[in-house]
Amino acid sequence: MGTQLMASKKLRQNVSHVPGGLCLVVCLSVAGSLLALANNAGGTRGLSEETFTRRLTPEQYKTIIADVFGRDIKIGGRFDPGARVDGLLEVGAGQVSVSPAGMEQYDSMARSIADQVADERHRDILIHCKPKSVREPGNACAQQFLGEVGQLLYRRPLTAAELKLQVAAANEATNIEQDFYTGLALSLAGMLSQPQFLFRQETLEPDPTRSGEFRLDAYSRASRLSFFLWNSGPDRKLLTAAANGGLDTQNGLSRQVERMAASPRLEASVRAFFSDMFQFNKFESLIKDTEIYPKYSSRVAQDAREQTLKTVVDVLLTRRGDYRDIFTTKKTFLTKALASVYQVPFSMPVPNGSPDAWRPYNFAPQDPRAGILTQVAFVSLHSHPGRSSPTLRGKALREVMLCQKVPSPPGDVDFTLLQNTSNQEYKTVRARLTAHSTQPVCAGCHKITDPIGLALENFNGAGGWQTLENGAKIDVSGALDGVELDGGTGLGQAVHDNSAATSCLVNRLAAYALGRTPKKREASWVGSLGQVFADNGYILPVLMQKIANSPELYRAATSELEDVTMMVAPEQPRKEGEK
Amino acid sequence: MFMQNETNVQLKLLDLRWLRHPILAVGAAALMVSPADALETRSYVVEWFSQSSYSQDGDCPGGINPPTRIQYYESFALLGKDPDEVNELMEIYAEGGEHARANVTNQMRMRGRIGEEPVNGFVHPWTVADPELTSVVGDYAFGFDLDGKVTENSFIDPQTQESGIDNQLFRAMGCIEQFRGTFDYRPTFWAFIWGSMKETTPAWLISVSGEDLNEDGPVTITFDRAMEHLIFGPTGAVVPDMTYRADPDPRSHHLFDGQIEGGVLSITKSGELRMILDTLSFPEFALSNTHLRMAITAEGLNGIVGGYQPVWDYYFGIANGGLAYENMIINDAAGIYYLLRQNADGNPDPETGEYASISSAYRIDAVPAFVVPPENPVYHDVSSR
Amino acid sequence: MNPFNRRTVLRGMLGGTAVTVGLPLLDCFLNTNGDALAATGAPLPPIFGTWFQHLGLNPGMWVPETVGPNYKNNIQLEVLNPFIDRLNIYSGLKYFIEGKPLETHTTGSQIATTGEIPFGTKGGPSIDSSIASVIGRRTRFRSLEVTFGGTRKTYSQQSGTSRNPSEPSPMALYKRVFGPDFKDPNAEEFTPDPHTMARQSVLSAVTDHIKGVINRVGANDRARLDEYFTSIRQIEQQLVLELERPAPLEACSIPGQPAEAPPGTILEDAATNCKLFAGLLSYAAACGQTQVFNVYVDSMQMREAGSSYIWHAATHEESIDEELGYQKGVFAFNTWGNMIFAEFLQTLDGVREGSGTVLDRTLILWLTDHSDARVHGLEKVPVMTVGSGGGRIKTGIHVSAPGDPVTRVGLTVQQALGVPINHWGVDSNGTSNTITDVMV
Repeated sequence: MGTQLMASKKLRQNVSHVPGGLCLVVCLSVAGSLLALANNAGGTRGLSEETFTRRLTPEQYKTIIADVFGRDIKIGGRFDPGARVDGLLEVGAGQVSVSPAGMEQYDSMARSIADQVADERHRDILIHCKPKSVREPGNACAQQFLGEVGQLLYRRPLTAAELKLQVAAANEATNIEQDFYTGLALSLAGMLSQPQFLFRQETLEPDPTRSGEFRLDAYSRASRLSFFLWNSGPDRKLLTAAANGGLDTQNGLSRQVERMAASPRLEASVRAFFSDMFQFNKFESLIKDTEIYPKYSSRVAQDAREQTLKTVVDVLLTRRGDYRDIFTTKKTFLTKALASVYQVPFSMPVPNGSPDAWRPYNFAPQDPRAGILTQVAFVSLHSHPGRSSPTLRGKALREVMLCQKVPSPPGDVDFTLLQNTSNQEYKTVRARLTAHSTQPVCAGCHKITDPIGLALENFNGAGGWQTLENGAKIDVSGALDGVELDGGTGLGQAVHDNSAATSCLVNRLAAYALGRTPKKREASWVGSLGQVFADNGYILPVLMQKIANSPELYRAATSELEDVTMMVAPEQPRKEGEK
Repeated sequence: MFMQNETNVQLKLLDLRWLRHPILAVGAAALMVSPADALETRSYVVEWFSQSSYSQDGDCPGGINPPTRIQYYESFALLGKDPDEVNELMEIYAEGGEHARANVTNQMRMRGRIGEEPVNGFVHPWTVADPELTSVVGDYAFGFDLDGKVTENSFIDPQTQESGIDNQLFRAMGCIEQFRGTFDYRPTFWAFIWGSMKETTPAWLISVSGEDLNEDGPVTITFDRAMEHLIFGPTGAVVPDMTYRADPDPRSHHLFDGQIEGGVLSITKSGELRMILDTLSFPEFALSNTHLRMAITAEGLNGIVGGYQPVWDYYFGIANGGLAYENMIINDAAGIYYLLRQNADGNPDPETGEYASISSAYRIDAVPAFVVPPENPVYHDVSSR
Repeated sequence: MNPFNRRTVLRGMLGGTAVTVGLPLLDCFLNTNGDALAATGAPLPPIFGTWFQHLGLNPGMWVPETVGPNYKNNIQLEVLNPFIDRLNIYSGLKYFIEGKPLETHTTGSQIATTGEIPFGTKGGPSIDSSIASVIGRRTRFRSLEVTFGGTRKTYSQQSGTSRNPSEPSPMALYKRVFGPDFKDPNAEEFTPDPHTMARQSVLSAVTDHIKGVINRVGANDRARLDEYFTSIRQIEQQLVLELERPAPLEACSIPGQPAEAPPGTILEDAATNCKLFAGLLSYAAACGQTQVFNVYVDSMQMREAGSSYIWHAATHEESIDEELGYQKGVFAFNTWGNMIFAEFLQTLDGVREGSGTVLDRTLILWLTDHSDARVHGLEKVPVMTVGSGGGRIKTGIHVSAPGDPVTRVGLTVQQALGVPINHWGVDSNGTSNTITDVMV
């Protein structure tokens, strides 16, 4: 099974002496407890806050359980929805809590996981000790197991009080149930419902390199690093490094970063980041009119999302290519269902009813499909259920890919003209938009979105190919920031050449790593990241390593005055009709 | 008859879009035609297949044949049971219940007689007395003039107004409710057969090759069986532009010389067509003297195929469902046997003169598809739309 | 409380027979502590039911014109109008067979109830069993199965080799539930569930600890942890309630022996027995004997008295009426099925519990084998739910999900009732796609 738990005995010995030190350090919140700091400055309560920052994402929760207990532990249940802040759910994760309904789900998932861990099939593999009697509390074994597992779940060794609490809970439950494993499972379930597991807890200590400043303590640094590079909690090697001071030096940190960046687990993080940045969670509620788009099914939607992720991973990790190439690459991956949308043949020698299989495709140089903007995921996600939308696409391109803010439409706008797609006077959406934009209140915004979106008009609202609308030939000329362009490939090239694309990525990735939008005082750091990115041919893993090695990633915000974001306001929910 | 030229056959499998937008496919490269031979090919997958009926009010002067639960009164009577006994049996049958139903249905299953010995009437239909079911008396039926003659049995095709149409299968079956239909109304029996086979039997493929399929001119029409089943979209309709691999098994691969004239595709040199099925009903679909007439449009093919179909193929397609089919979707298997025999008009036995086949017409709709060889190509320099 | 009211409570419902004799008194009638329920405010637990009616509905006659809330019932479902604000209709869904042999009337049923097409006896639990393993753990019967067709047919199973046969006779069901083995839910003895005790003990230790943690964090975190704490306290409170002696089930009373119609395939008899079963199941639920039931209509063999024209034969024999555009006789059969379903619901809704009714805490999943039975259609299959299970799903909504697997509804219902799964079904019939439109 190869779980962390199986290999963690040695670690426990290594770190067992550390917790005492942990409790002496000064603990402050990173993102939100400036008020607490101000209060505490009066010295009335001491500086011993613990901070619960980001709630684990569903993906992180599942990955941690699989890492700790193995992949055959089934995880059911639903997760509370996330909140998108400054373009990222990962930033919003720092602001959400747990609803009562969500807690019920966490509780039931926790008990189901714990029951499986302690069942007869798994206990001999996952629990490395045996009680003297199965019907009575086994103090030593409970302590050993809960301590081992606890540090992987809490991403740090349990404090003596925490461990004592969990062992006592297990013992009491065992007394009631007269079964050691049931008691142990209940205690484990309790641990899986604790905020120390469900939230990423971070703790500060004085920064030895900058007098009067604070940074994350070693375990918190390990966590931040691990969630950034692997989208999961630290493995035992990283925890050991944290325990042994291995993360206290730049060299030590770099060694871990190098090790982790070389791991295939980097892909999980890259996928999580781009799913988040590209707002792919919106696929869950995406609806298409299947009378108009009969090829579009929920399977096609799922495949389309995966196609773009596969394309991105191929460019950025497999080929270690230039980030900007994701907007121009001719290489992609298709399933049978997607191939029919792209109208290309797809051959796969597998039996009928086999699950979707993927095949690599290289589109011809003159082909209109190139880069992720021309893929089904982007054009269908940013369209209406029954028609395309140059405005939504233009807005999405600016906000998602270039990190620019497009204002929401004013109230009291008449969209009738735009929504009447069978209007014989305005046969194409270009004609309708031109007429609509004669309203001065609309013209300003449409100017910054429509010339982008109109270039994608050869792709219908479900990503299929179209050349005519109401019998009129579709004109796909467009422009981006003054650059004239033609069609999806032209747009891809223009985004490729636009410096906002790379600076947007750097900003988003830094925010993803920090769990918050970079602050003004961090502008020079973000700027230097951009420079490194450019100097190294826009290779994503290089940028990720640079961020991971930055002391800035592990520092605390220290002044309330600096708590002003560099980025624009949070996005608004999409309104009905065109903008 | 088929497969005169293996290489040529394989070439025709390649879809038009491969040719217009060449793919440097490793697996298929050896099979690519040279530019000099370049033809336009369009491929389609059959999305709907059904016996073609043209039922009209009053075309069954003998009456519509009753459903099985009424027909069985007649069946018992033919076995020599007196009316009271028949009524009693049918009352038990109506009440259902495992035991009673098994007894009655068992008698019906074994209603053939060889001497005094009861035998299975589905397997040996000629041992059941002919219930003399009614058949169509009318002027119109879809189909083709297969024998070049206008006889008293000939119909007029309601679409083309051509006379001399041979469709004795429609005549034979057209007074059974589940076989009545029109060009657009799918007879219940065939809707059921198609419903059960469409997702479980390999799809049927039709490819049309010619110099320019937008113009009138000679073409080659190829029938193939796919290795995949039909693929359906969210609305339940067959998804166009899906890819199907042509089964290399030569038994279901047939080429016909044909033509396009005024947007209508037809076979100019008729021959044999055989498609192996993989379904709970008909084991294969075979026609001799195959004719075809289909509209060819951007959306697909739409029309009929016809010819002489072996009587036994058809009969066993119906009878192999035994009592279950008989009860629910047909009327009287043995009765149908006699209808088919009496109306058969093709392929006479050289010695006895007995007709082995029956003239027929089937409705086919097909949507655009990619048809590729079973090899596993690399998709390089692909052109999308 | 006047015990005589309870004796006569089912009068008029059980075949019109007044029930006035020989009823054993329940202990709860003597219990003076009858307000505990209101005092604790513990909501009554959810009830889950399935209604399996073969042969689909007439195409074009049941899908509402508009999607979302405030839809209007199409002609075939108008008979359910009294429940429209508690009815969800799911349209466009599909059974996938993908090359597996189609066993007509069976394959669709298997997918509907188990999410897969099992090979032989390899099938997994049916949806009601999965739900019963969560909500039916502590009731006397994990589930009760009934049928109107006179046989023991069932779709309820723990596995392909362990089926829960249906009860065709209302009288037999009465004896099984309310006979000598009836366990009075309001009896004095009460033994708390040790597992709940153990859970509660662990959880209270955990929450005590969290209280300490909250005091040590900053203001922003404290607000979020307070929310978290409120959420986990709610679970703890639920456990505490479970450990207390439950409040008397006020609506519980033993119904009279039903005057049943002969179990069989005659429509009139089936309609009579349907109402009797509805009453018995309502009181079985009201008395805490079960929280899960399954109704197998056995529609295929149903017929008018004296006629051999069975429902199934009608679907295949009858042609589509040219003027109406649908099979007239089949329409009548289908509408009859919907009518007895409406009567079933009405009976559940007639059994009051406090300020609500049994139906208020019930969630019924209506399933069928085919869409258009005439051609054994597997796409555009009708699915319905009635009731919210005590506020666990939103109701009064028409959900259109063309081409999606039918299992999406089953997944959603299981999640709503607390089954810890995020995926249900196998291969193309598998889904992780909860119908969020109806989730609370």
